[in-house]
Amino acid sequence: MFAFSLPFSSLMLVLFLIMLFVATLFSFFLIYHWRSYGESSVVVTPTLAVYLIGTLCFFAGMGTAVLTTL
Amino acid sequence: MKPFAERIHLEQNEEIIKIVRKHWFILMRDTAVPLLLLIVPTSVYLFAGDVVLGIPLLQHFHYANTGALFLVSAWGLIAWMMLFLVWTDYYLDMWIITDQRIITIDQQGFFRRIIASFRYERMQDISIEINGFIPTMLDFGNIRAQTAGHEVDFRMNGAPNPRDIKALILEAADKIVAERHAELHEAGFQDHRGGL
Repeated sequence: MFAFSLPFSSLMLVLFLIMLFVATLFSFFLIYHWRSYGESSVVVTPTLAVYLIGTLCFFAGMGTAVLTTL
Repeated sequence: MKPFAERIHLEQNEEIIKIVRKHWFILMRDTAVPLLLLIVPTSVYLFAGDVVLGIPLLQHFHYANTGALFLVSAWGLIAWMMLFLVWTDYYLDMWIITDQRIITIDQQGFFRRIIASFRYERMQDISIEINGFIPTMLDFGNIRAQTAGHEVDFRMNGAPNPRDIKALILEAADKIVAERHAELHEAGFQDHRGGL
């Protein structure tokens, strides 16, 4: 097991916040495009649902790692 | 959400005959890299355990290490977003074949969307091209429609069943041209064979 020093955990927190910002922007544009141009809700809704659930899972992983090391 | 026909501004009495998207093989080809980027590091992280893979750095890259958890999650998120960008690009690219014209929609990323249309009366030629072993076996290829004037030709690469689509377009075009001729005839115009 690595012993995390404060700078490393701070780096992880900064990276987490950057990823959060990027993912939020990406999510906004993705949802906007699918809702504006998607042909049928039969495809739009599951696509957005799967995307959001997956994103939340990845953020849960990152968040767990950050909280563990802080 | 507005109905699709309203969002693409169909004319009155205009009906959609078919919506064509690229062949599923194109989607599979384009998602291969993001999927690999998503699956490989995640698999190593979850299943490597204490197994030494022969690479010193990877000895600690497993589920017991929170730093590795962070890296895999961040990496996975990036690959996940790439995957959905590819899927968005694939799904929002389409040719809409109506009974009066063809509308082409080309989504290039998030910040570029090209929508063009041409009426069948302006179409001069339509050709298809199927190149290669896989396209021949799976029946997909390129469709190219040439229009009158100096406009750019319309192309769809990787269209499924290109022969059927070409036949559909020609049938719709023949019908619209015949209707226009009938309208002109009713309006009293004589063709050159009829004289005055």
